[in-house]
Amino acid sequence: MSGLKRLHRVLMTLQTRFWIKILASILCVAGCSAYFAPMLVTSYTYASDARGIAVAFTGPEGERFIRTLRETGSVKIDDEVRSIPEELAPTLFAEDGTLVDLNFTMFIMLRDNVPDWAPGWLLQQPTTTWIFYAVAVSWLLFIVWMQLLVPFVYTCAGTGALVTVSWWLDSRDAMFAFAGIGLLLFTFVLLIRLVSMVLSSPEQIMAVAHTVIREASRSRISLVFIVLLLVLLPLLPFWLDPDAPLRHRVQTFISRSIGATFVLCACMTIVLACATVAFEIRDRQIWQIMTKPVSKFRYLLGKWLGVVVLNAVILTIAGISTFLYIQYLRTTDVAQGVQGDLDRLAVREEVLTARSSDFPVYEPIPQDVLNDLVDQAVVNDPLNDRYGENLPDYIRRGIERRLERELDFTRRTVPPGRNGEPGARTFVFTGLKDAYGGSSPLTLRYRLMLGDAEETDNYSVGFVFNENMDTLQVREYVPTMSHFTLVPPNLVLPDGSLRVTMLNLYEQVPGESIGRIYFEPDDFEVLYKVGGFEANFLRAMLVMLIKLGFLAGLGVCCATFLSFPVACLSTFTIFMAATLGPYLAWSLEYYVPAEANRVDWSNIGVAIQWVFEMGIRQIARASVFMLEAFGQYRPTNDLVNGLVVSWGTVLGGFLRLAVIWSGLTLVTGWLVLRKRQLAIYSGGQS
Amino acid sequence: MVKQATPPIVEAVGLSKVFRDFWMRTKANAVDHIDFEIRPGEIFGLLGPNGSGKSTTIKMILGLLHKTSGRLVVFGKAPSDVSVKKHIGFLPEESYLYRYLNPVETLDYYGRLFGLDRATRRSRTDELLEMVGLTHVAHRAIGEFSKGMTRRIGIAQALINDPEFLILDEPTSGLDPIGTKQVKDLLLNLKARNKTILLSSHLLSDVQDVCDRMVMLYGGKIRAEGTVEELLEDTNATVIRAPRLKPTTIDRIERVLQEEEGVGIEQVSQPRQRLEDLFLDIVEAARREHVETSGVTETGRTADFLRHQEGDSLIDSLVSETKIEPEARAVERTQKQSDVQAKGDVLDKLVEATPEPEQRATEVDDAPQAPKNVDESMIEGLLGGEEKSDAGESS
Repeated sequence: MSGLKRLHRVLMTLQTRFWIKILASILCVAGCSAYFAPMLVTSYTYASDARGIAVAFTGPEGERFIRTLRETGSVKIDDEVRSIPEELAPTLFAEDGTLVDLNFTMFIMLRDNVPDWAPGWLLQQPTTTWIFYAVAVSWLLFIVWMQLLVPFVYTCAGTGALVTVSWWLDSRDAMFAFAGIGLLLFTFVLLIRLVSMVLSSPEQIMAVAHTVIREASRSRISLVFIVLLLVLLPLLPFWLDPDAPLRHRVQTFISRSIGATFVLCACMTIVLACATVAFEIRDRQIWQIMTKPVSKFRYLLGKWLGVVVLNAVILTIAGISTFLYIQYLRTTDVAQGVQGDLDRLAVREEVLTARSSDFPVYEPIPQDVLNDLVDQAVVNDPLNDRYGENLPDYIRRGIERRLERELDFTRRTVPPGRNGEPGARTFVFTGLKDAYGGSSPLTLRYRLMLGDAEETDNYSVGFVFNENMDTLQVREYVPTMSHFTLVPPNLVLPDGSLRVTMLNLYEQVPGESIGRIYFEPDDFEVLYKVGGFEANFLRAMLVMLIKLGFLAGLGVCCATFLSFPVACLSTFTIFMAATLGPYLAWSLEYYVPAEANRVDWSNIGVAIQWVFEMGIRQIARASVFMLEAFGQYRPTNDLVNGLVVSWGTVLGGFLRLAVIWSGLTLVTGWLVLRKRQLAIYSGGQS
Repeated sequence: MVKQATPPIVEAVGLSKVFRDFWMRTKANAVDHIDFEIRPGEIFGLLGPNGSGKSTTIKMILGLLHKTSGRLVVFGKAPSDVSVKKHIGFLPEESYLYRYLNPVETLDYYGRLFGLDRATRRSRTDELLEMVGLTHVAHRAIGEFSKGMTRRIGIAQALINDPEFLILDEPTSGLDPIGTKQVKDLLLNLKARNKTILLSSHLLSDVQDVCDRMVMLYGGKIRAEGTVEELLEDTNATVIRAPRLKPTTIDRIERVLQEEEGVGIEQVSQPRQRLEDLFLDIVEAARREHVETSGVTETGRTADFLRHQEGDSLIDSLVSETKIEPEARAVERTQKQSDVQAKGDVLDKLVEATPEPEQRATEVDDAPQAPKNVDESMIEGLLGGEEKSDAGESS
């Protein structure tokens, strides 16, 4: 044992030697170069071939190349014969013979050029390959120069042993999981060391933040969450169903991975932010700090910054690992044939992308038409006879609201077919200006209901675009489930509009309760690509960090005047309320107590109930006003659905949550701390 | 030209602190209209039993508690003013340190809160750790430390900014005699550099050894105030310290006293070595034998930055020449006593009759004899002599 200890000491000393660092650096750069150089060569070859195909298809002879490909299934470009599978032709070409998606066509034509040993996703973008090369080299150089070489070797040895056992047991998933756990834990140590270096300036806020980082990485209270997350992330792929379509696997992984990261980070943030202040007040360490020339606001800001920086570290690790695994996952096996290729296409175009969405625009109901309908409804209801000419306003307004809802619903229905003619209704999308002239196909998402039809049966629906029957697409759908169909981008009109006629192909049998198609307002939309997945992923992680920053401020603030458990509970309650903010806002629309002039004040019971209900409503409204913003930002949901998280969203979230709300919580904490006496009476009773 | 008086470091006028409960009922009058001031360069003692208001007063000076009424200024400003704290070092009655940090990180952290640059932090950390004898555990978490070791880190952190005004609340609590002595030495060193120190303690010997002025609190009020000399002087008795005397000499002294003053000797006793000195001797011997310990190792002298400042070597040398050791001060005090001076001729008389030192030394080797006026039977009784005599009788 003492021999091992001595060896450890020698190694620890050696890693601090300058010449060892130089030697290790050379080895790291050489090793990475040896791995990435062939990949870069292949990557550039792939990019060159792709560029050749793009030039051929979009050049003066583009139409000829496309026609040849459509008719023969292959085409000769730059003395190379490129072909596509016959089954895929209907998907690749639009009705007018043009290519639906040039990028996807190139991917299909070049898929045999990707060697087995290289990740296909990495080869498609030489710049990405360079980035990975730079990241790998930097990571290793950090290890060397931050004197973590020996711990790194130990981690590699431990992880390698577990990976070898998994390999021996022929468990590929376990190999990935163990390698991932080792990699993530070590990266955490490395990043913490790096962050400590950044925070080592003599600035007081940095000093406080630095101590929070040390507290978090050495105290069980926060380490539990961090280790749990770093172990859980590599294990998540185990829960994926290998037989499920790739699109579902990717979406499930994103949802679970990002969701678990956010939930665990949120829990850690609440616990750490409350603990780091509440425990210091309880254990009186704050006496030692507040008797130094540091202002209370700087102290709180330092605490907040420490928690935010720790979250940034964890999100960086979780983000990188999730991103890399997604890139791996997208290259995993899919079903054979066209179905598999379409599955891969769906992943590319509907999940790993950044799309904006547009909903149909409905003509407003003219007020005079509505008035007539209300008059008619009043006359038709015999219950209103007792009022005669003096029909109370509230009854009229109630009828008006009901009719508005009914009309709104009617506009989202498509009647059933009759006598061989399908039922039809046209919906107009007007906000597709950004999609006009694009090369990527649009996606029409629909989630339809058909009366009380069973959720297990298949029904047919047709879509016609811009009243052109040549564009008819007939699709199968299962009621209550989301479905997608691709729309060629050239169908978008120059003014950014698209008219979609939905055909209800179900012919109603008299006496049946099914027949009419209807959908909820959010369940019929056109999605179009506005950016790449990588940048979208980064923005989503930033939004998460902003939300966690707000939680940190809230926790720090609560801990200035509450004990640790109470502060935790309060922060957690607010967190839950904020998360449910949008639902709460939606519920409030339906929770409307009667107007005061309609309450029977002579009945004390009714009066008390009214006061109670109003109180609840006002509290809920205040909560919604303050916290709705927190719940509105749902980056996980957006990523899963391939929806764009715009820079506007990030900036808006930053201003609302990070600047205004976090600022307010910190100022509140500062006011409390200023007013509060940090010491207590320690003498006897007088 | 009128010499401008130096403003006090701390000035309290009618200072009160009342603690109230949730319903605003008075829970305690911890400090009750006290007036005092702490002047630059002095060691000021705050004495009193537990619950007398010492810690409350200190916490108000530090801004950790708000005063209920009265006036309290520190360096001419309100205690809550952040800029005031740049000049203060504080050691609370217990060291409230982060358990997960090691001593180096702890001192570095507090140094950063004072805005010290990296080089200064590093050198001061090294010097302070050496001073408190914890260099060998510099990278071990404080959570694993004993109370005394934690206390030493507490002392080190209080000194990291080389404070002008040092507030020590029970500084020797939890320290072994070596640490206690070191703290006293440190205080005298700092005083020599004209630092101001507020020392709160209920260990009276600590305060007596080092303080210039003090107040005694009880029930939140000041019961006594003044310099150590003023408060401790006993004008009703005279103590003469001499080498060991023979009983006949003592008889002769008593006779002289009867003749000259009309009083007899009230007590004759043999001086004993102080336990603190004995302890220090034993530890010193063990260290010379290189006995291993996992605790505090040999503590260094006071950190350089606390003893010197750039360009003040001349001042230091001057200060060191005029430095007054506690023992010297005690002699000085004795000499000041006018009644002792008045009896100089009596002493001369006694000295004339006293044998030469060599002769006395020989006599001291003899077994000591009890003074004649001591009731020996009572002492024997206490020592079990009665049983012995009983046993003798039975045999």
